Amino acid sequence: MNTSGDSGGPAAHNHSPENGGGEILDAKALDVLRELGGGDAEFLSEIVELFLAEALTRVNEMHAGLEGLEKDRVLQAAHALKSSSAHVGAVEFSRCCAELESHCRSSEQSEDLILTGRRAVAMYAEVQVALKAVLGAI
Amino acid sequence: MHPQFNELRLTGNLPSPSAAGLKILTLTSKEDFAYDELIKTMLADPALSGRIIKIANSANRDGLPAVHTVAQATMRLGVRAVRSVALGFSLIADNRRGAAKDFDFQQYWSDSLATAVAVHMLAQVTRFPDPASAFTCALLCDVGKLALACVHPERYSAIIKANTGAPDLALAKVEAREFGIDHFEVTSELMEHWGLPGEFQEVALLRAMDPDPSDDDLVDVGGPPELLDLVRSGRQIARVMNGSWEIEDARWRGLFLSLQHVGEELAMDPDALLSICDAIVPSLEDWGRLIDLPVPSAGSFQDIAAEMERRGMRSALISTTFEIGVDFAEEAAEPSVFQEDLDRPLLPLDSFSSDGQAPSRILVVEDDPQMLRLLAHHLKRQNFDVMTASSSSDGLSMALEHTPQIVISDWMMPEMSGVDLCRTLRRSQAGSRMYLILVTACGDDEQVVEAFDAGVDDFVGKPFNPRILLARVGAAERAIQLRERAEAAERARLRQVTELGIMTRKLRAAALTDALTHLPNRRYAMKRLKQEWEGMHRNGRGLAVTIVDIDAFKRVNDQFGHDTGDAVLRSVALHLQSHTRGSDVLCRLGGEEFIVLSVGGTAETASLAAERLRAAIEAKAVHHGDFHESVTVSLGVAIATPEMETFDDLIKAADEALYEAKEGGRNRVCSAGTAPDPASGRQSDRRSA
Repeated sequence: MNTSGDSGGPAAHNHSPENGGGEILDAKALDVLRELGGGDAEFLSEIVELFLAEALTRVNEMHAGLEGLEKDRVLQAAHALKSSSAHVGAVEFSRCCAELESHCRSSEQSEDLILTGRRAVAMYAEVQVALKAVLGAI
Repeated sequence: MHPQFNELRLTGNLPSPSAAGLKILTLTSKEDFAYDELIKTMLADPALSGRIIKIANSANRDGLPAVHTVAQATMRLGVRAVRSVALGFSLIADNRRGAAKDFDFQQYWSDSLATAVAVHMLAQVTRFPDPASAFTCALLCDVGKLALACVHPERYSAIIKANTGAPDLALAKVEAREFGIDHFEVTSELMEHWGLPGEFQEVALLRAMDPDPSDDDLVDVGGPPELLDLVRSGRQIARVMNGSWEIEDARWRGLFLSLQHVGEELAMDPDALLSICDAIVPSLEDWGRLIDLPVPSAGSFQDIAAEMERRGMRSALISTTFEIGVDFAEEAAEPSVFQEDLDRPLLPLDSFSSDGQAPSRILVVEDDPQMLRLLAHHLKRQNFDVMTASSSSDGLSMALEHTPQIVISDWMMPEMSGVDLCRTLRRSQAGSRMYLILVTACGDDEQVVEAFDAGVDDFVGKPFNPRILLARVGAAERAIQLRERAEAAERARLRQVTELGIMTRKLRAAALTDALTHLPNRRYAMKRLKQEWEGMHRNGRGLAVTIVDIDAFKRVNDQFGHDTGDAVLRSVALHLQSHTRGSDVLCRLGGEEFIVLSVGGTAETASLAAERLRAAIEAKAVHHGDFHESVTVSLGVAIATPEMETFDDLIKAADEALYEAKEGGRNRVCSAGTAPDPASGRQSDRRSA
């Protein structure tokens, strides 16, 4: 599975002006999911729905963690979102979570942690919109 | 000791080792023997020294430097092996001829040497732990024949002449009829007598059993072969070497082709076996020169096999599969039937779910429902039997309850991490067998090491590539199959060991029981008597022996036939049994003779007990066919006295008392040292002073 989010990929969905032109959803990842379903569209929507339900909780956790500067709480959420988002093609978001996770693991109390965290929370809103569009299209 | 063996021994004509051999035996029989003395004794016999150095050097499979002195050879071989080897060689030296004119002593030793050299070679290539002992065991594995020829030159000569070419098992039956003991038993007894290792005796006795062809289905699992297999195989190779080497000779050809079985027995490739056989030939010639024995001029095994191939004779000996249980006399070969088997891979290792095998059971533990669904989905598509758990605690209980073969677990989970789950599983019996794969997005080296320390088998990175996941699961299946095969092989090996143990026990039990009356037999009686005799000297309890003989039994046999005779024997055995005291041991000595061993008895109690037996037998009529009579028995009682040197003296005393009872008119009890009272038809014993 390609998780490197190559920006030259075809059929780019939503475009995010805040992210230097990276796609919010990687078409290849979604293609892989479709293929896995073996023409079974329900499987794709089931996975996406599962992601959306789980991710909302995690993002709320992340948000709360950032407010209270609870590194661990942010780390748990970022770690989980890093993998699960990649499986629905939210490659840019996954990369952002990975960055956030490494900021949390670092001992420095960096400004970057807060900035990256806010960027991730904001980006999730776009991921949500894009994925709901995918669900609607199925 | 086998009573018949004792008789052989008492003739003083049993083969015995040379003076040097005997000295070595007695010297090393003590735990704390003087090592220097042993070396000196061996050095005193230069021929023996040379032979011991030779076997030390030819057992050298590890490329050690050659030994040049007896002391070095003893260090190399160990005292136990040197002792056996010295015995074997000194026996050859002193028992090369004898009075039995149809027993070819020279041939006997040539055969034995060929067997020994073959076994020695096989022991080395199969990495049998002690080749020098295997050599000696093989060299002496038929020594019972030599012994019978030495003790009964004429009778054994006649047997050999009448049974030329008969297999050993058939010969043994004739020997047992003639002497009451066969050469396998004599071999075993001699080995015990000479203090050779117990496993040698076991080989001697087990050779007396027909190898059961139905055992062929036992899986051969490699590992060192049993001494018995080696001796049987070496014997077979020696027979081929001593044969005609005429390809036209059908009997010999059959023998040659039967080498296949040897290969199977030793789990050896036929080509490898042939080249080993070819290596045995020059080795045997060497030994022949050293021991000064003529050895067969064997040809090349590989050439013969190639020639058979060329002539289109059954050529299975050359690198094809074996057909088990084929009668080689018929040259019926159907190798094509097996080609299919050969073409088929041993196990379909490279398919995920192999034919006919249940799909692997996999438990997926993952707290993120989306990841769980994805993992399960990929695995189900490959037809695995998938279970899922959405928390580590559920995962643990499901793993222990359903014992999946593979567990795929997320690392980061609340409550218990994947690593802790693995560590916990590894502590349980069932969990220790599972293949554990961790799914993780962490790549930290320290953590990876920690996970492997906790017992994780493999990793899959997260987000996972489905193809990588399935490849890892495939690797897991291969590992599981290999382990299961190894376990099956181990089980088969254990079964073999157990079966051999059971067989040996049955054999021993059978060897101690009289088949007609099911009473313990003479062999047992003598063994027990020896024990009790020694016990008596330790704890000072008295020991009485009563010999019971059925009166005029010959008449029963002659007038009513052996059937009736057997019925009488069984009936008497039964009634004697029910009237002996619990602590007494009743055995059938053979013929119409029984013996009662009474521990702790005095002359009075033994005589009273004997009288009770006499009366019981007299009172009970035996009914069989036309026979409706009661028989009577005469009894001779003896009690151990300080003057008696061995338990043989005790038996002798009881025998003499029995003789008196017979002379005195039968149906009575006599005690040793007491004259029968002519006034009484019954018991009349007074204790002698």
